[in-house]
Formats: sequence, C-alpha cells, structure tokens
Amino acid sequence: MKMIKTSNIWRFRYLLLLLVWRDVKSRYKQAFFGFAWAMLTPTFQALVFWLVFGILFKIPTGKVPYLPLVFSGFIFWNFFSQSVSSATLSITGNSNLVTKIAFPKEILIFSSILGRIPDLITSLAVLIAILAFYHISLSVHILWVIPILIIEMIMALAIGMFLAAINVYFRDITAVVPILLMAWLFLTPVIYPLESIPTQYQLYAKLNPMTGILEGLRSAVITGTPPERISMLFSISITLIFVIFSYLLFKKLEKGFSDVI
Amino acid sequence: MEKAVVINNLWKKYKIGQPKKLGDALPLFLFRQKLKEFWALKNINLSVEKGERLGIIGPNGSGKSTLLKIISGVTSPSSGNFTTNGKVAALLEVGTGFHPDFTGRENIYLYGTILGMNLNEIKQRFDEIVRFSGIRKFLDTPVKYYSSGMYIRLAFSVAIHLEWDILLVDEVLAVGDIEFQKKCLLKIEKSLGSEKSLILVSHNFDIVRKLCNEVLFLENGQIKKNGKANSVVDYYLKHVQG
Repeated sequence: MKMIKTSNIWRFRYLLLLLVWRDVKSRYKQAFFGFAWAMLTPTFQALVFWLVFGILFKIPTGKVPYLPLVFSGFIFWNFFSQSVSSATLSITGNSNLVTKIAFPKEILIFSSILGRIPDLITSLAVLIAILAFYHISLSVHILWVIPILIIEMIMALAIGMFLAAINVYFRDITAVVPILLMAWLFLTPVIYPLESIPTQYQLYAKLNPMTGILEGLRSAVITGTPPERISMLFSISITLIFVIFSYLLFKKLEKGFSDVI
Repeated sequence: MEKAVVINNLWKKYKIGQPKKLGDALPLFLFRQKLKEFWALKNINLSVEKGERLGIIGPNGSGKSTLLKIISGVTSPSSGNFTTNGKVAALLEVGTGFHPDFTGRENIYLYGTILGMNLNEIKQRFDEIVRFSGIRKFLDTPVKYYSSGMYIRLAFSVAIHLEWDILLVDEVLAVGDIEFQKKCLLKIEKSLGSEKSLILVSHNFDIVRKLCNEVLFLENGQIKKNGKANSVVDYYLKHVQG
C-alpha cells in the first residue's frame, strides 16, 4: 500500500516554508496595525493584570517587579497557547488541501507553530525595553531561552497534533481548546511567580510540565539564572513522552483525514 | 512495456454518517451500532503503461474521482494495493490553497509549492507561467479581485508547468473559455510522449476522444468496460441512451 513516507518531510520543506509565510502574512495583511499587534497584545494583557494583581491585590513577587514578570510570562505563554490553538484548527481549516493534495499532514501543524515565531521575536523586543526600564540587566544565561523555547515548541507540537487529529473526527475540540488553555494559563506560573503558591501546593504545580518551562524561561530572562535542573528535566521528559504518543496517534488517524473531514 | 500504474484488487469503502459531534458518537459507541457503508470502488484491477493516455468515464458517483484520489495518494484504499512508477502530478481541483488576499505573484509561488515544485523551479518558470496565463497586468493585484476566469487561468498556468511522469486530471479541463481550454490541451499534448502517462477523468467526450487512446468506463464502483477510446465511449453513449 502506498502511503506517504513519514521520513519524506524534507521533500516538503518548500511547502512548509510557504505555508508559514502564508500564515504570517495573511494574519497581518488585513489588520491596520499589522505587526504592531504582536507587541500590543501582550502589552495590554500585561497592563490589565498589572493593574489587578500588581496594584489592586498586590501579589508578592520577591525582588522582581510585577510588570516585567507578568509581561514575560505572557509572551512565553502566548507563544505556546497560540501555537496550540492554531495547530488544533490547522487540519480542519485547510480541508481543501487535505482532500485534494497528497502531503504529510503534520506539515500543517508545523507551519502553524513556526508561524508564531515572528510574533514572539517582536514581543521579545518589547520585553527587553521593559527590562531596561526597570534596570534589570541581562546575563549570559539569557541564552537558555533558546533551548527552552524549543522544548516549549515541541510541547505545543505534541498538544497541537493530538487535538488537531481528534478535531477532524469531533469538532467539539474546537470549543474545548479555549477553555483548556485558559485553565492551563491560570494553573501555570504566568501571572504569578511559582514562589507565591502556598508550599503545600507547590508539588502539584510542578507536576504541570509548563511550570518548568515558564519558570525556566523567566529565570533566564529576568533573574539571569539557569533553569532549575530537576523541574527542567521533568518538563523535557513529559514533553518527549507526549510528543511521541501524539505523533503515533496523529499518523494513525491521518489516514482517515481526507475521508472524514 | 513498462507500467506507470498498476492496481490490484483495489476496494474503497466510505462510511456514511460519520458523527462530527461527541454527542452523536456516544450512542453509536454505547450500543455498538455500525455505520452504513458504501463501497465506492469494488475490485479494481488496472494497469496503465508508460505513454498510455487513459480516460475514465462514467456517471456521477461511479468512483472516478475516488480512483484518482487513491492513485494520487490523497486517500488510501480499504483493501488491495497499487504502485506508481514515476513522478505523479495530480490536478484534482485548480487553485487549491490559493489565498484570496495574496497577489497573483504570491499565489504562483504558494500554489506552485503546494503542487510540489521547489522555489527554484518556480522562479525558472515564472515568466513562462505568467505569459501562459495572460494576466501580467494583474500580477500584483490580490486574487480576490480577479474574475473567476482570471483566477482559473492563473491557477491552471501554474499547474500546467509542473514536471510529471504521470498526470492525473479530474474534470478541471472544463474550465475557462474555449480558447484557453484549447491552449491547455495543446500544452498537455506537447508534454506527453512515449514515457509519460495521463489519466483523465472527464464528462467531455470530445476531449476524451482527442486526448486518450484507452478508456475505462466505471459504473457503481466497478469497471464496466475497458478498451480503445472510441469503442468504449461509443459503448458508454449507447449504454446511457439505451
């Protein structure tokens, strides 16, 4: 039986490249402020939470001021959550490609995740400006951001592939994803630091693989320290388990995509 | 002779009424209900030689498009197997993946890669593609402002500059004005040779007679007749009228 070989993704690199380009370009072609939205979205989110939790209900944040903490939290979280939500819709949203063109469908998942990178880079520029404003200087440990972001992308890939594949069969997933992501946002140290969680719950918080990722990214940027080794290794292991499981499930369900979609 | 496509005992089943909501799936699962099945293709055996130009005809719902989809790799057979020998290009629809907000120029690149070209191939053929389409003036206009004719011309011009050993075409030739149709047919005829094969699904018997040397008549997912183009088309026309 002739199916597209999974090792053939290299053959579709141009398709991947052009799909990323289509995704990024179409997202900003219509909007008046264009790329500025990549900076404005996390800025507004951070301002709202700063008003509520930085000023009204003061959350203890240790030495780090609340605004850079919440802003960095949001840009790294948004990268994940936007990747997951666009990946989830990427198969059903491209049904014309799925039913008319033969290609490995994970290309659609990859492209929707890679398409989020320009936003992230743009918003990182704002983060650096905010850090400068608070006189927080960057250390060499900021380089940790790169490997941890790769882990975050793989995590988004795992969750996105899983949800996208199920979404072809049951569109209920489309409705579930925003709720899931909102719950996950509040259960992850994004708008608060990990230390502000009462000690008896800390262990549970650390069982969330996104905790290690978010904390690792934030410590690299703000405190200029390497990630905490155990929670980072935990996040990496969970990510790898998830991505292998999701990939196998995706490839199994992929065969039916063009018939069912 | 060397074979381009060989199909052995190929069957394709579709399930009717696949649930799209969990609420609909639950009773099916709980009461172990089976979905209705529909066999779109039943026991297809076929071989297409290199250089052969095969037309597939038959009434709507006879399985013509399903067969092309399987050969192109878009969907997989339920049982049986097939092999293809050479680079397959499938035109199951023109303009798949076109982005309405993108300009003609951008869509040439986008559509070209969707059809399997790489960026260099597209760059090399860019001028030829534009010349063939005849829409140079609107190259930098978003395609959403194109007339449907212009849209199809552009898409087809990209598709027709693909490189292939086996070309699968589903009905898409019946688009655009007569003049453009002729131009496309001519281009396909020119690219054909002793090594290249064509499989064409069409309801246009003039095109089938002109372009194909062999014809397959499908009905209800089965091969009803297979043979020389003119005799099978004549048989089909008699069959339909009688």
